[in-house]
Amino acid sequence: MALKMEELEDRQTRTYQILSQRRSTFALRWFRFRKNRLAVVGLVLVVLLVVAAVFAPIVAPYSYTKPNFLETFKGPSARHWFGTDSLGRDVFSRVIWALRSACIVGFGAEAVELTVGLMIGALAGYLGGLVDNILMRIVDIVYAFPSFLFSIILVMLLGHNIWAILIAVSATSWVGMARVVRGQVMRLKQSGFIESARSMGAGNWRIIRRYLLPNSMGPVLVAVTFGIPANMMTEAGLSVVGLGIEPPTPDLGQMIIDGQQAMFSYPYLMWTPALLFAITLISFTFVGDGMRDAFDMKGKR
Amino acid sequence: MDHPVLHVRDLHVQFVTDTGTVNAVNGVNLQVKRGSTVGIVGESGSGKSTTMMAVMRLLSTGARIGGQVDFLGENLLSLSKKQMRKIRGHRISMIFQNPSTYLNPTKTIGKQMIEPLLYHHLASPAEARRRAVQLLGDIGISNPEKRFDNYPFEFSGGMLQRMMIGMALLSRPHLLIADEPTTALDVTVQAEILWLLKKLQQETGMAMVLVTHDLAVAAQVCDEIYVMYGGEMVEHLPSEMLLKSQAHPYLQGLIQSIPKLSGEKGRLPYIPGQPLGASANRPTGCIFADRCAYRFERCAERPPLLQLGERHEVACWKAGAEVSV
Amino acid sequence: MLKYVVRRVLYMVIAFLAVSLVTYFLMKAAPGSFLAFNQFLGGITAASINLGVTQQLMQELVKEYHLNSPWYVQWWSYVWNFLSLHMGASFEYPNTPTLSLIRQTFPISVGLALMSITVATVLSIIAGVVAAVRENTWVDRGTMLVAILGTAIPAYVIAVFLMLVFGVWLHWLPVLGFKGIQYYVLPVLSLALPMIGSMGRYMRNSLMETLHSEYIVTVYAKGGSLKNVVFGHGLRNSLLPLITVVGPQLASLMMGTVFIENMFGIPGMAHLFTTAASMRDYPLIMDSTLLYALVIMGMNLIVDLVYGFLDPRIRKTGYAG
Ligand SMILES: Nc1ncnc2c1ncn2[C@@H]1O[C@H](COP(=O)(O)OP(=O)(O)OP(=O)(O)O)[C@@H](O)[C@H]1O
Ligand SMILES: [Mg+2]
Repeated sequence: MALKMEELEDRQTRTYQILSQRRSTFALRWFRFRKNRLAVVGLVLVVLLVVAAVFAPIVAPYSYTKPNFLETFKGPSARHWFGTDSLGRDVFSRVIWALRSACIVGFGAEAVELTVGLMIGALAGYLGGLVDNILMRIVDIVYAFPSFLFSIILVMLLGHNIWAILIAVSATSWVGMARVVRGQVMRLKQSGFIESARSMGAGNWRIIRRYLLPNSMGPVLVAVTFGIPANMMTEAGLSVVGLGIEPPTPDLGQMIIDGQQAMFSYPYLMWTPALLFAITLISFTFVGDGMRDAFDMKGKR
Repeated sequence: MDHPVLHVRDLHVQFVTDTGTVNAVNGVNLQVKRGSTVGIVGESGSGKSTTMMAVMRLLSTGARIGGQVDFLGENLLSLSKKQMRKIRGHRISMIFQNPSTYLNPTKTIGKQMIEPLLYHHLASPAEARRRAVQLLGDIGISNPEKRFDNYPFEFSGGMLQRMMIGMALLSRPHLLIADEPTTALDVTVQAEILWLLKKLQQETGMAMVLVTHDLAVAAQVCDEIYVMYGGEMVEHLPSEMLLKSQAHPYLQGLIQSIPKLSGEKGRLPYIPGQPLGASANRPTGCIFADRCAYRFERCAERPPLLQLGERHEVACWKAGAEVSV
Repeated sequence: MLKYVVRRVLYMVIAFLAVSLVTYFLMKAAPGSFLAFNQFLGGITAASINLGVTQQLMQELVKEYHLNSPWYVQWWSYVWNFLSLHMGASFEYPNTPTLSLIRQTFPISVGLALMSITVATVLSIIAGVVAAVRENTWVDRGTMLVAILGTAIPAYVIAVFLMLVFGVWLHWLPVLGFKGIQYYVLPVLSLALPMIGSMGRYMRNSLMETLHSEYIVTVYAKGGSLKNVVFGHGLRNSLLPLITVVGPQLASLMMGTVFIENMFGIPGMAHLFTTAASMRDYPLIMDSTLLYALVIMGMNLIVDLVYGFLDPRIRKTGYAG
């Protein structure tokens, strides 16, 4: 270690400062986020929608499966806010349950992506050299995959249940995350921050866990915020082409396609799920935009 | 003879920005006679470029311009946008400090060069090309036919500036405004460019305004010199008087701070204090008083432009007093 | 420049082989797959009345796909058949070679994609120019908000609203089928609108950057008008980088056609693929996946090369800057 003593102390204080500044940086980021009004609206909507999805059993007024042949194709009313479908099921309840599927895949697949992406990205960026080279070549190749077709093949292989779809959705999208993480790690590595941590006796894993991850949060969080709606799009898209979650589990894509069958007579069956889905996706996008403001990454896509 | 080509009267420019108002130019008066060369000197930030850009009406929409800019008897500030376009690049041309950033990197030299002719319908594209190639050759670019189709990155800085000059002169303007045309160039190239400018000016008989940092250049190339400080003209004098009879303490300071090749190896003289910031509140007295070694009571009052001799004016109580006493 | 092209192509070959390998193994692992191929043939046998023909067909299929050979022979035969355009019989339609299926459907998908890209590019340029020229006015903000909304919503959701407005309410345009030019309008718009978001935003920002650059001052100093500035200088400098934005969009556009063809009932390649997937028609899946991979990688390569060709700095010296 060719570090001089003073230099070392200097770096230690800097490290400390960075860590202790965490609270006030949070305040600053929150402030920047709040300045973006659309982002705040988006955040409120996202919270509402996610809460509705989580508490679907309580929020949904009716069962999503039980047909009621006395009340088929009833337009929106006080009893059935979004009307009823061809089997007399309450569309509002179905939409809420479908939102739940979307959230499970959206968040779940993102969690998988995040885990894989973090591991591969951090390893590649931190170790560098041959490991980096091999991992990044793999990432490049996965990038070349026609990802949606690949998801379709995977669903074919794994079945049409929600977990299979979750895997199929995350299978190709982790590469983006891996690239983001790798870039962040490389940046930090060059900043000399790691050297100082290592000189204080921290081991590889500890450095990755304690220093690298917390400090490369910004772009990763932004990628996560944009990743969730992207996963939802893939999930619903699979249903649109008839390869998604198996009925009767409600799904927004499936509901849109079902609604399409009757769109001339009962257009609400098509636009209600589509509108809810659009609002969900837009809200996430606004939040993502606000996150970019918060982490000061405008224009750095 | 009596009609100046350009007569700037009491020009004011303010920039309205998020952080406040910037008073960049504050009551500038300036005359450029037919066929003459006028030099404008002053420290960085004194408002030289802003004045010239205001004359061309090229300032961004955030700029507020006041006063009068008479060009051949017509007030440019009162023209419509369309009328003003007919003057730019046709009657008045302008060249800038850094030719490589003032040229579009993705368009060939030739295409950019003939644009003034095309914009003003002065020639057909073929005729414009012929004239541009010939002019490129005249201003010392070898193999002009081939060079015409080069991109800016294939030219050296000196060649680019030659081309810019050619571009400015292609439409035979009455006035050329050159804003520090040599500052970004190698010392050896600087002299060539100035010589070229001077030669072309004599050939075409146009008037020229040369903005420069370099007093030696101003003394050699120009007929008259205006000295700017804090957005105002503080002295106006014939160039032959620049080195002997300069009156304003600011100009004296500038001249002293020219490093002399033969001079003693001491500390470089400089003008103490900060230049007057354009965004600062303007003093009620002499704007240079803060930094002036000769300051006295009178300086609390703003000095008007005092006539020292023929074509020699200065805004300084001390200089004025010395003459009248 | 040549070295760069060679390296890119080499890289593409490796990625292509990797895609084919992964797809091959996935399909091998899928339930009812190659290993169970005989069951599939058994199905045909049972369904068939003329046993002699089926026996012959079975032998032909076994021979064609080297089903008795080791995996790498099988894999390679797929790839080779694909590359030499000898794509064999599909399982689903044993009498129609996949090649002719693809030949029927691929042009439809490509046509759809090309039209969408053209429409998207033209609309983004218009939106970008309008927004940039009216910088920071409500025109600018409104255009850009619509652009963001477009990016956030996938083609199939946009299709829903277009269908409802123009098909159901206004009765202006057909919403299903593929019989004439008017049938293209809504699918093309559905595919184009999400692209306009990022392209238009990019166009605006890059044009605005150009408009604020110093050489634009020169253009004005020459007597140029806003029109000269935008069309003679601004656009050419912004169009060039726009190509790099179009590149990555192409892949997602091709994917977008999967939804749109299914929703509008367009008999394109994507429709063929999803049908193949739900029928587990392996040869067809393999061939169309390879074709998509090839198209996507090829388009990216072309975009990069076009970019290199259009930028005089890269064209003349071989590298940027
Ligand atoms: N667009 C603008 N907005 C705000 N302030 C400006 C703008 N342009 C110029 N200024 C300010 O106006 C003052 C005069 O600037 P100007 O460029 O005219 O100086 P200059 O004499 O040409 O200096 P230099 O020798 O460096 O070219 C400076 O203080 C500058 O910061
Ligand atoms: Mg200047």
